[in-house]
Amino acid sequence: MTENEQSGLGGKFGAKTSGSQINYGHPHSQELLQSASAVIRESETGRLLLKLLDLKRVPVHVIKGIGQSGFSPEAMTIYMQAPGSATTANPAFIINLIKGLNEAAQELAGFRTPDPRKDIMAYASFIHGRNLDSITEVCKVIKELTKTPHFTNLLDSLTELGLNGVYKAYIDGKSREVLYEQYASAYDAMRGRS
Amino acid sequence: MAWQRLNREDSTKVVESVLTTDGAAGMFSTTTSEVQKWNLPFYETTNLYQVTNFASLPSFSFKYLGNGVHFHQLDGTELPIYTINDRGMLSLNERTVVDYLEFFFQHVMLDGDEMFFIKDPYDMPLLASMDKQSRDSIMRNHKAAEVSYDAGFDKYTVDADLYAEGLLMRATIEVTGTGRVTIQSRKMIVNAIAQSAVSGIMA
Repeated sequence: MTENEQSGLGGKFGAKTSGSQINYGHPHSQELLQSASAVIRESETGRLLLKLLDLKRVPVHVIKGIGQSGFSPEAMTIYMQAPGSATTANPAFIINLIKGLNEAAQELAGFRTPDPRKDIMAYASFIHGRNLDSITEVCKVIKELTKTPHFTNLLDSLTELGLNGVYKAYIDGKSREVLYEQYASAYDAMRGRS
Repeated sequence: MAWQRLNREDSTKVVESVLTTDGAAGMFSTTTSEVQKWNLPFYETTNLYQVTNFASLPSFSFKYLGNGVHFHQLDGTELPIYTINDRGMLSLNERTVVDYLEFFFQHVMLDGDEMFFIKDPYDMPLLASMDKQSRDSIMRNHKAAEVSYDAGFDKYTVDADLYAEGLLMRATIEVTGTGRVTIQSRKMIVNAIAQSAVSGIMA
């Protein structure tokens, strides 16, 4: 291989790199965000979350890739990943955007992520609690979309993500302890997959 | 075969090579990133690399094909894989073509859909999150991949199990000598897998 040979279509972010000249920015980032937002906006809870985007209070970078998406408290940025060929948001992208928006909202509301170097246990406890809160928010948005054509696909995607147990507990009105048990079970399964 | 963790010096070289130089600082850090390498049996001088930044949350993880100096990010399309193949790096035979397909489907989303090539159902990523009925169904219906080679056209035909959107399928997949992958046909074997999960939610 030679230098400067990495292919890529570039995007609004990641256009300049050193070394292998990798362009991380997704060529269809705007289309992906707009199509995801259009679905989320059909939910009342989703509309509130989208104010973060509408008011540009949190940057969202869409990266070409198939890895993990989420909110980085270190960079105060939501990083979303989608295959380079994707032009519209799939249900997993939508779910991850809802989750990222909720995490960003919590951080902006003052629930700051603790420094893991000071107390790793406090950090882990905080992160898992925030994850559960965000997944519960995802369940709330999906429930509000029950009568829309997006519902079945979102529910299928939730199942593929291993979160069907959390959703069932949510719609059954179970306690936070039960939701946490379901979340912990899904988390263990996800770790086994990675 | 397993992931091999690189030492600090080599990790730093890899991270610096794939680092963005614009405002995406939250994605990578030379001090908090770990680099792992995986040898791929169908490439001679190219390996799979994974860079994970444990300081960010979630732990951002990116995969690359590279020779230790230059890297191509696996971005969910065929392009980076085909680019490497076209440089003559690919070496297929009737055994490695199955490994190649497993790798290909792990890193390429055809038509935007996540599709799993099942070489060994026990290694299937989704298995742990399935209910017992779905797992049993896959184990019961799984058949090992069958490979044939056409020397005239320098292409392999592989009959193998694929799993996508809750469906277990038997697919006929063509792989050319340069690694181009085409699904020729798909036949559904089991369709009750996703439905069982969804009905569990709605019950």
